[in-house]
Amino acid sequence: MDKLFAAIGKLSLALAAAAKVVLGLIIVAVVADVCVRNLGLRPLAWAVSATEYGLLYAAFLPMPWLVHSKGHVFVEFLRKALPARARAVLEKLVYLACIGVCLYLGSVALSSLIGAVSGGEYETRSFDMPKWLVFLPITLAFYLSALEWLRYLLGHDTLYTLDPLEMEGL
Amino acid sequence: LNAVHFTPAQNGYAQSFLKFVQKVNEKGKGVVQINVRGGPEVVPPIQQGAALKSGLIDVIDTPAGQFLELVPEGEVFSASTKTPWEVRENGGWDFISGIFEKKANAHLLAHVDAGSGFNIFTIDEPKLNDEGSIDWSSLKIRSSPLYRDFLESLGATVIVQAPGDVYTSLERGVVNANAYTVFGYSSFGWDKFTKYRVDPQFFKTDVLVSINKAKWDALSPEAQKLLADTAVEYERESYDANLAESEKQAQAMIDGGQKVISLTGAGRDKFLAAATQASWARMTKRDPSNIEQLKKFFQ
Amino acid sequence: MAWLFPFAVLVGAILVLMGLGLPVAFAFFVTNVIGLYLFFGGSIGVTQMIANFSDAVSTYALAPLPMFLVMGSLFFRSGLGEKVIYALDLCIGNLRGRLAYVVLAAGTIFSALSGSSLANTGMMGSLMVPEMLKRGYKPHMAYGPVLGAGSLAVIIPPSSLAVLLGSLAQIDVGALLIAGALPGLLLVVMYAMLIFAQTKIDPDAAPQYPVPAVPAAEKVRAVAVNIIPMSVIVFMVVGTIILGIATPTESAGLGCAAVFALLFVYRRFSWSVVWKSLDDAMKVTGMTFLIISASTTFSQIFAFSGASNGFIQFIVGYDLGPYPMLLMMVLVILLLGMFMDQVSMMLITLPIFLPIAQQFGYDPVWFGLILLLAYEVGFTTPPFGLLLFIMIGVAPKGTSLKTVAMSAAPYIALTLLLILLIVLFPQIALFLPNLI
Ligand code: NA
Ligand code: NA
Repeated sequence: MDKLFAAIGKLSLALAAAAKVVLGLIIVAVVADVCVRNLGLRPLAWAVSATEYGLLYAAFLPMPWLVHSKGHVFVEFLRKALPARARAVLEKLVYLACIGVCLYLGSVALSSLIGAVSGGEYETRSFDMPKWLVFLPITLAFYLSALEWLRYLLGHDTLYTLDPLEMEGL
Repeated sequence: LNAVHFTPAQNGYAQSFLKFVQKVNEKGKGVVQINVRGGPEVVPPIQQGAALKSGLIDVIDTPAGQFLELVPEGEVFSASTKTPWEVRENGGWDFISGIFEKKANAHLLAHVDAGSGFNIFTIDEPKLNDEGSIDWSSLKIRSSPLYRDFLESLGATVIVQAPGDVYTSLERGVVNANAYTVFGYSSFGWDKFTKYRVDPQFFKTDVLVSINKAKWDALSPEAQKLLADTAVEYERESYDANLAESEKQAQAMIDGGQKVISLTGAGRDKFLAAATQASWARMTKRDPSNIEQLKKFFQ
Repeated sequence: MAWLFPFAVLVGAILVLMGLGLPVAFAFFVTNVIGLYLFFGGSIGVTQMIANFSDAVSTYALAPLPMFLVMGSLFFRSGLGEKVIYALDLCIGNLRGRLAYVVLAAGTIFSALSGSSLANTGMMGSLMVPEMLKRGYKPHMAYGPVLGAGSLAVIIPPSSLAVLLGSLAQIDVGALLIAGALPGLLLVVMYAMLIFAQTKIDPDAAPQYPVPAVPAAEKVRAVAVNIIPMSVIVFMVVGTIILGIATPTESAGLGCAAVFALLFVYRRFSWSVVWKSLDDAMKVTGMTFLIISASTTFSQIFAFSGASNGFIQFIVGYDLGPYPMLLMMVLVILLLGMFMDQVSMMLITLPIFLPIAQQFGYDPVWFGLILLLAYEVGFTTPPFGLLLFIMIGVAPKGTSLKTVAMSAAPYIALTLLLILLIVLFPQIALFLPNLI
């Protein structure tokens, strides 16, 4: 089991690394677009739309790794009011809810993806973008996040381990 | 029937749609009623076509240009050189409706607010050359994706920007020209900078009122007839209203100091030909199967 | 009261789920699924929501945020930032809380060039917060000025939010933009007084670390050498906008390029620094954008279900005088601002507010500016406050929303005070527009 979750963690990290590359490419595209335009050359027609799709990838590819590394912001104002036993139960319920919603949205995204592939759907911006490339990062992100939440559920880690000094909560 | 429109409720296009809805609801007491749920705050415009197709929304008031990925042929409304009723007359309406039914699960009710098109607006006075055209390469034009291909084919430098950023870009000189409809132009305050309007207009507004196919089929014949008749009537009415309102807003900008530069002769013909060419070329690239017939009906 | 059920379900679900410890984005996902099944098309609605995710974040206007995060992080991680602050220390001398004033001043200048509060906060946060904390500033003295200066971006012209408000509400856009200048500067002064008061009440909040006593020649050299990189970046981010070379959106990319080039000049370039900076930016961007995706659908369900309309009509439906009515409208915006973004709020509230404003004969520019200030407050009110999330992203791990929100609270109070001042003295808003 440990090995499985280690592999899943690696995969999440790989998606996050891909998102970093995407951010780097966005910067390159924007700078190139400005340079080309100011040099009086033909502007890069694809740069704006490509950047926009890059932002979509930057939003979803890091999602599983942020689950793994506790990078998604959360608050605890009701949780804090509960006794320790109840909090332990609540914690598992939170993980279950996250797994459930990730699996559900992942499956909806997957069926959208399959529909997009079979229907040959595309989006029309400055270039025609195949729609399955829009659904791909979303599908991956939700399924992989479900697995990362499963890791918490099975007790490999806990979301709520903050430094006691920082435990002001809200 | 629930419905959404593509602009905020206080905007002219939404107001026009609400007038149509009011007519339907008055005549349709006990037969059919439209319940408007809102505008872009409910479903973003570029998803309204998909929301209609899936049946999430029953009636939409949305430009065909917002769901070209579903119906590439929808671009024919902006490329059209004919009025909506001419197209109804010559059979083009039935033909394009069939395509929308097949591809977007949509029954077309009306092509509303038609009759006006897009203009190029410039900060510096454009000089007409011998051909009756202007030096496009001197323009850095703010564009939307709909007409960027066309503006680029003229040789202008094109920057795609959301309307919210355009004011600052014009002020700072990041762009020295803008392309938009006369209708609504001054609401963004752009007329403060762009003191020249280049005629003629290119493309046409392509706002469609459409209803989900399954919902349409489930309506009683009486309700269908009522909707269809009101739609035809309103199509004409909104055409005239849109023209009058555009004329009024154009005059207001001219009173505010805007000058109109008209392309002439060969330059003008070339300009219009390039606009038509850009639309048809894009449609052909996306789905060539219906092009010949569409050209027959709409050109 | 048909609106009360969807309102209670949606607001209740998001509050309870967040409070129970679901990460913000996931609390929105779950609430959205519940809302879609109860009010908006069930499984068809969920499919629509997935399609919606893409449109919510794939807009060019959001591009500056990750680019400025990369820029700030490169600056800090390479050690260039430290040297610049050393030089600033030499320049300013022993003024208590000087870095807080620097943040405020820099944030104001940037506000006068860009209209994006997200970008402003991301840039100032990633540039300054780590250095300030390193020098022993208490968290609220580091976060507060960045959040305060960040939200200024939509008040001080240019502002895409003001342009949008002007066009949606049929207010003269130019006048509305100009109207923001004076109140914006007034806010800056009030913020500076706040920083002064905070350091007077609690001197430890911004510790007085010693500035080394160096000979005058050495001082000039240090300032010259270290301020140069800052000015190159300032030129690339600010100068290119003024000269019309780049749009405010694009200038963020040029800022990155400038820092990149400086790393070579100062021999501090290494791929590991670049990779780490991308890591910082990836984390904040991923977290913030996911929340934006999720919350967009929330606003749509809220609108479709009739909850928002019903709620607004309920609050402003009483027969009130012009001032109590204005108070109610501001109150509506403050409440909605706890759960949704500025553009959604505008789209939802304006159709109802505009007829009321007309009925009472409010001056449109004055009214527009008051609305703009009220919308702006939503950036930093919990539980859904985008600037708060960005700040948590650039702050040390484990920083709580409460800490960050409490740092913003006095700045919000001053904004509300300014609204009151504008109501009492409309000339604050109308003086400049009346000149043109
Ligand atoms: Na600004
Ligand atoms: Na808020």
